[in-house]
Amino acid sequence: MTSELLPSAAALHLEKITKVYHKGEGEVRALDGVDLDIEAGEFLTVVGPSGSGKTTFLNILGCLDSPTDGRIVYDGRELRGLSEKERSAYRRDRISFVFQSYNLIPVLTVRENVELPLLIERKLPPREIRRRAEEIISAVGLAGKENRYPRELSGGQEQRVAIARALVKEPLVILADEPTANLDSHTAEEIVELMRGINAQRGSTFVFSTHDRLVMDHARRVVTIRDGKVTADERKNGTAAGSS
Amino acid sequence: MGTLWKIALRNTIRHGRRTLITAVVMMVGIGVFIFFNSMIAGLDRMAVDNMTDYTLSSLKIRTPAYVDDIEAAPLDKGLPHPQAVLAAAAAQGFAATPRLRFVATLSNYTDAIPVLADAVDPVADTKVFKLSAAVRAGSWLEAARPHTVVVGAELAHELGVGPGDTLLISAQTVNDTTNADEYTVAGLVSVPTPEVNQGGLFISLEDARELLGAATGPDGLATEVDVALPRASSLDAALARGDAAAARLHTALPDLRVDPIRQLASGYLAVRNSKSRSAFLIVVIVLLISAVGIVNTILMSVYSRVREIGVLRAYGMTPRAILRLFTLEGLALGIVGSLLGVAFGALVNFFMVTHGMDMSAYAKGFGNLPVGGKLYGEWDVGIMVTGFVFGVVLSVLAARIPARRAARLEPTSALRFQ
Amino acid sequence: MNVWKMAIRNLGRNRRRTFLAILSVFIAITLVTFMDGLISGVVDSMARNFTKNESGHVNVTTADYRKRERFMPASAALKDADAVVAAIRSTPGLGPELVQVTPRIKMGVVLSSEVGNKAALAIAGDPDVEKSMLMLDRAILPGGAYLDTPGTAIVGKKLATDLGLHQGDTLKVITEKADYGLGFKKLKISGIFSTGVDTFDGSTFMMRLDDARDLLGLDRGASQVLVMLKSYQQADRAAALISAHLAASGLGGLSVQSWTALGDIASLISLTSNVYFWGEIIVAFLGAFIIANIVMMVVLERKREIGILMSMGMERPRILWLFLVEGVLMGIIGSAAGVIGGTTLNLLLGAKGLNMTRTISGSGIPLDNIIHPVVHPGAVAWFFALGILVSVIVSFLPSRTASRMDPIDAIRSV
Repeated sequence: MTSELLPSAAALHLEKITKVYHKGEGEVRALDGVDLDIEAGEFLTVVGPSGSGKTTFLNILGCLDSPTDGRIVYDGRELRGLSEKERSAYRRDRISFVFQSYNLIPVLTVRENVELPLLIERKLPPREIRRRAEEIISAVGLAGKENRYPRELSGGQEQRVAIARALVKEPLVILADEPTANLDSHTAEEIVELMRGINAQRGSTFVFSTHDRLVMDHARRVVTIRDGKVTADERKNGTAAGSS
Repeated sequence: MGTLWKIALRNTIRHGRRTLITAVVMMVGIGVFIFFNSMIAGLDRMAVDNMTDYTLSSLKIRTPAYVDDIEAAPLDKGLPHPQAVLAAAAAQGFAATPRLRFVATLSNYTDAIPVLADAVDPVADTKVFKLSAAVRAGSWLEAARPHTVVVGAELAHELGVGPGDTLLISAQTVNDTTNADEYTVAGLVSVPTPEVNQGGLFISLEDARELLGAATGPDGLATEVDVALPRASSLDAALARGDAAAARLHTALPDLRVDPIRQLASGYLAVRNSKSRSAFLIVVIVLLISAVGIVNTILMSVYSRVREIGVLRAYGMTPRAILRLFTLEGLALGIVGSLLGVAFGALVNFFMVTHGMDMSAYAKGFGNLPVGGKLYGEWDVGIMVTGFVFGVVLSVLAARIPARRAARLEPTSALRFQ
Repeated sequence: MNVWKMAIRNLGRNRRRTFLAILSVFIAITLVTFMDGLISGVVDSMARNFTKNESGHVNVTTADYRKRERFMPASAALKDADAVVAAIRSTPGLGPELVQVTPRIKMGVVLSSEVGNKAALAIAGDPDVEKSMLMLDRAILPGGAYLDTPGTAIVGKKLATDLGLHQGDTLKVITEKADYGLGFKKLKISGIFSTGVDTFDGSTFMMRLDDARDLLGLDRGASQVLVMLKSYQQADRAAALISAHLAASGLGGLSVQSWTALGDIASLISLTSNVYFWGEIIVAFLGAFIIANIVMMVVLERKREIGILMSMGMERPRILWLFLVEGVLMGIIGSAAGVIGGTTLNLLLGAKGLNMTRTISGSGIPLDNIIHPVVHPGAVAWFFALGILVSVIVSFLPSRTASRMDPIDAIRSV
């Protein structure tokens, strides 16, 4: 069930991750002792029924939330007891998100939305930011639509923009929480194809959650979470997790 | 920062109706403040102008002893050398005229009434006062026609006299005896100053000195010399100009009392501050209420963008940046509202300054105040700037409350928000 | 479920916001109610001052005197003022409204002292009656006495000072008699009074009516007869009744005027009412704005809930009602609290009096320095209604927006 690879070899190392919520009088164990290693450049899917802890898992992976217990090692660095400020910084520099819906800022154009992460970071000059944004926009197949507003785009196009934005700062990992849930099956497939293509071209690590069978089929590694625990971890060339 | 401003500004425009309603309230508040201030300034200006033009002049030169005993209008404390005083004024380039004030009884042979009469130099007086231009019936005093008087219109009406009629004037002479003589009414004056209308009696210096048994000639008896200064652009400028002129004249005439308009109208000016204070209070209340509106408007904005905030936080935007984002929205709203307010105020003010408002209908309501005729507004850039700044600052402060709420949102709950 | 009950519950959901809305309406209505009380107090003060000092509620003189009133000619005085007083007292239709009828003499005199001569105003009346009208007995400085014995006078402080006279000194009075001759009388100054109004204290003294009659050579005459009523609003009506009755009693040809026709008071009152009216408008506007703002916000926040309610079968009119009632409820509570607040303020200050010396003195407007705000039940009811009315009007549009929403969009929204 768990893969005990040496921490330094994996890009992300999660050890005994537990997240407990207090709701009313009782407690809810959203995650209960999850162990997982993710290598750089992986294309990994997290599946499970709703309420299984998928979203919580992704949030913790994405530094949006801290675990109640357990250890995270990111790219060799232990993340423990980070302040909100530090977590913000971490997210800004290394992690990108794609959400199920409402990804884009409605009052910004496609280009401005894609530039946003670089603008928040404020490390590059404007011209460079623009160049990178345009490059990524073409890469996701939306060349020519830079000056459109989100309301003028279709659902699929919006998600493309979201992916472009996720890529623009070349993050350590891209986390997508049910990115195809609001799309029809045809468009959903296009989006997953796009993600895979980028994964192949650029080597970006993708972790995305889904409950859609068809989407699952495209992934090379499927991690199943149920009741806060990892119940399965399959690699797609027929090998089970744990063997290389 | 530029990005935040971009988002803030565009969101303000996106919810046009909300923005507009809040902005309109600010507009009315600031606009009314500017208008009110202008009106009060105009009222003050008008009152002081009327006093300057018809009763007080810009500057009075008298002996200290005379001013101390001014209630009694004494004849024995007049200026020792009126000519010297006139020359001093002329040396400074000011128009000046001598006057003699005395207590008299005016009678139409049926009824009598005590008045404070002003003996004037018919020609020089017109250079300092505007009474001659206010003659409604008949004409002003002329050196060529002695033994005539000019009477306040209302007083003449009460006495039932008009131009050409005869009046009996009696007064105490310089020797403490009583003398009386008949005079013909030359004309009636009607001015915005009730004091003149209801009790004004003007006679030539020569006739008065004859009646009072006083010294005549160029250095004859005069109780005061009144000086006119060129019209200033604003009330404060006029007061300052008066002070400066008074200082200069006082150095030239150290034994005499030189009182500029600020001194002469001190009773009226004393109430000035409390009036503008109440105007300020009103606008504060109005803006406080708009502050509530602004809080709500920004709150609505936050509320409709909770998911968006989650996404921004997920991408590493700090809570402080979120705070700044919504504060900027408040700033944008404040700028729009305040700009509209200043524009609205300026527009109304422009109308007030160029066209003025006719106050005659209200003149009676003001009692003894010299209000009447057309009220003109005054431009006061300082007030406009104050209004603008106040509006903007208030908006920013008001926006901070919901902005802080937005900044404190947990990214995970924000993203989950329905 | 009953819309009112739902509305109340909903208001409780976001207490802070509900409180803010109610607070704003409360402030607006309190302000308006208080301002009304204050202005009424000011108007009252003006009316009271003018009527008891100058003209009474109704003023009766000869026609000739009225024309030459400024000069106060003794020759034009009422020859038999006592008869006029008796006639007025029997005017039908006045009844208990009539509080007082009294003759007064006002005359311009010259006062003579060692220091010099000075023109002054003499007021002479029935000393006992004037205790409730001019009330100068209350203004006498300690050590002095009122006009208890014949041949006495009380003099304004500034006037006394200007003439160099003190209590106990002799006041020499010169004036024109009713037969055009010169009248002269010596009075003993029994007291010095100070009303605080310099123009009055510097020019006026008071003497007994019988002494004035003696000085002027009037037997039963007086310059004018003053009529005081229970309320100054009845003056016009009373004037008409008195005029008719006097004519019917053989005392026609007299000038019978209500106080509103005399002096500049009426225009001052209309000026202040005008100013106040605009203030009222602005405050109403503000209160309206707040409620509009808040109801809009509430509708936005509960868009999804509206969608769900609609999908459960709540009809559109009921949705409109629901939000309207919420707005109105806030308006009712705010208005009620506001009129209570404003009225309480007026009652408290009405008893204690509000010191407005800073604002009033120097303006030349005839007012007491201490104003007592007045409570008008009619105005109070009107403001309460106004608060509710404004809330209804202003809540209507957003409520209608809510009722017109598409349920599916609404559910999916925000």
